[in-house]
Amino acid sequence: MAAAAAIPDGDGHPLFSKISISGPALASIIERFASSPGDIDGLLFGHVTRLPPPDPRDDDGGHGSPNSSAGSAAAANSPLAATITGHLSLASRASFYDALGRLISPSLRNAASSSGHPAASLLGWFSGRRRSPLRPSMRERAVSISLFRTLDLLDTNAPPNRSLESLDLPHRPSIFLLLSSSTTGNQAVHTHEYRAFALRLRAGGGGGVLEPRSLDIVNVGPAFRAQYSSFSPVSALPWMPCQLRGPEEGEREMGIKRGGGESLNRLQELAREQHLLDSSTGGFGAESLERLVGPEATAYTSELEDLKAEFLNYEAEWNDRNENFSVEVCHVGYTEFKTRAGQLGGRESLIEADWNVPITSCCLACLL
Amino acid sequence: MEPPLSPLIVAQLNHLLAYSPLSVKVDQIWAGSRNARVSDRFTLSIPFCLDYVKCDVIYDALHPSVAPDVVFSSEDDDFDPLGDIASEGEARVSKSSLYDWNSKDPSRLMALVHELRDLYMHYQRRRVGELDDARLKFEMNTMLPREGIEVCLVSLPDRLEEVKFAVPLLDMDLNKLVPACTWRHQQKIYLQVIFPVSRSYSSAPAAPRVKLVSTSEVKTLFSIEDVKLPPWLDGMCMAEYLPAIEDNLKLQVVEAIASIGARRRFIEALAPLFGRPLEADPVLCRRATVLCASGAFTFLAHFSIPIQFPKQQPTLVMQSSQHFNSQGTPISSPPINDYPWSPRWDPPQMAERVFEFLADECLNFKKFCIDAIPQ
Repeated sequence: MAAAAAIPDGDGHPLFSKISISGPALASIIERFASSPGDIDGLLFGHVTRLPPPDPRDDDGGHGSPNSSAGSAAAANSPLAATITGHLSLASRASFYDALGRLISPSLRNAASSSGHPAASLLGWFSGRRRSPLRPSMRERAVSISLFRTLDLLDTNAPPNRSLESLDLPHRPSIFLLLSSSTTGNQAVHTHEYRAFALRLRAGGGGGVLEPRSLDIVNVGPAFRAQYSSFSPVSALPWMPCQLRGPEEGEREMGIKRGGGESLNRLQELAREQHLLDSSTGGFGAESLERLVGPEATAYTSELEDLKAEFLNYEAEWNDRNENFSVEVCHVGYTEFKTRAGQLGGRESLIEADWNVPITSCCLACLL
Repeated sequence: MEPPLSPLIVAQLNHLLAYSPLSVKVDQIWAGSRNARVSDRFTLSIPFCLDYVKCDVIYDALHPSVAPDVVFSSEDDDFDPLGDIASEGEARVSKSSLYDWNSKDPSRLMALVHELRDLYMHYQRRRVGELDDARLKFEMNTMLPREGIEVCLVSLPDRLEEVKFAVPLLDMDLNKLVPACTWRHQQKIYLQVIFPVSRSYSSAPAAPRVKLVSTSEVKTLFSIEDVKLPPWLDGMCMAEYLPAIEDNLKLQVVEAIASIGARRRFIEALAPLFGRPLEADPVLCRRATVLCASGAFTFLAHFSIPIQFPKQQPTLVMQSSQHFNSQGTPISSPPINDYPWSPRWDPPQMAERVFEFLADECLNFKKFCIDAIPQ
């Protein structure tokens, strides 16, 4: 089961050798599940990419020309990776399948089209049930198989001549994400668990098996640290002499400088530095900086607290109003929050660093 | 503390427990929804092949009209009941208990459990049939036509596997043979045969482990542990082994049932001497209690009548009606097994000899009681 090559299933269809999910997508599914009163299910969307083929070995293709048909076959067999980027949580449970796990195609098509994702980006589905084992149930297995076999759903919007090299490779929805959660009796500890499965059809058309797979979370975990270490600490801000002095003293010095015949060059330089500083701070003036310390700080803090509360309300409102609550919606809200914080003299980095904005999907999305 | 089950679900579960011929057990009941006032999921143990198949039945309290879903244990990972139904075509699908589910019909859960058990039985047969073991293939072919036979594949640690057969023995209805019995479930005696799955072709296959297993009520009729099983000879197969043990067992069952009649006659013979028994076990006649008086001393005599009656004599315990220990419970004699007895006596003579023995023994017992009374 190593990620060495695509493993074709019973129908000769390549399986995904790597499944990843964006942090915001997973966070928003878990958030949706945690906030719903009962069990939930829904669809998973995303894209499929081809991983670079495994390194060729010396003894491979030693005879004949290396870049002929053998090479292209190797490319076609190189492993596929699926990335889940969004989801659609359905308003009513068990709306697109029946008790026997057979799909109700019209409801599925309606749901898929209402999600705003192209039908071709359907990667699979998810089910969240509280306090139950993290193994697929008999119906979940049947639904996964039915979903995999439903081809017409995918073909409706697909352009006729899609090439294998295009970004969205042709695939069938074969991913199943199972979530479970439980709480201790006093609600002190909440446990959220999830497990990803990939469907593998048995040869001869006799059903299929949901195999547990590891799920890579993009932007969370040690695998992503490389991006942080490649960060270079170069700032667009000019160098500022940092001297400790009282405000009056600073004012006086300014006055002396302005009035006292400082050279024109120095003044020009100062103006240029000021301009650079202004363009980098994006409206966050020195006076705002001053408000961060001293007696004014509490008032300023509560002002930002209010803004934060307002944003959370806004988010909750959207949550209620829109069943198909997704990252985009949240993102809009968060962007608005940021803009308004900026008008008040806030700064993105300030909010991220100093304000305890809860880590919801939107924040992760915006941090990316 | 979990809340009670939702009313629609409890009706279905009660129907299953009350009317199913299988003795299904409920292990655990719990709630799945947040801040739930009703529970909606439970674990069932369904008897299969002299063991239990455990599964979690998951309803949704918020949508009680939706058919339940079932999660099987991790050993039964491969079991795909809905896939099996679908592969048999539309006619089979429309006959499934999940098709057109009606949550208001209390018998639906029972139908589902029976259907799943049936599918599980076929699944296990298929698994055993796929094994590459010539002996097991032969046993399957010869034994499967037998009615009620069950077979399953058991995985052991170290990648070893065993195949377990549960063969119902004796083509007779025990519930009907015992007059006026009140057993709810069909009582059966099974032969459990466990074959190791042989991996190498060279070595001779090891003999299977055989054991008699019975349903719980049969144990009150006769003791299955006392039945001697014939040895399993080299190269033997089940079809050869079964007739010998079945004949032997049939004799013993007939004897055990005849013993009920002997016990009944013994209890009836007590009546002319002791008066009508205060209490007696009317079905299997294993127990009777009579009231005795010797002068002013009255006491109870408890008879425990063994399964091997009349070969073994009843055990007697005397219990005083007038003497109590410091805890306030009546003083009893130790069990008495060594009074005069012969299995060849007819019941009135047995009763008479017991009566004579008690008439003598009660004086000793009275003394024993007076000594035992705390001063």
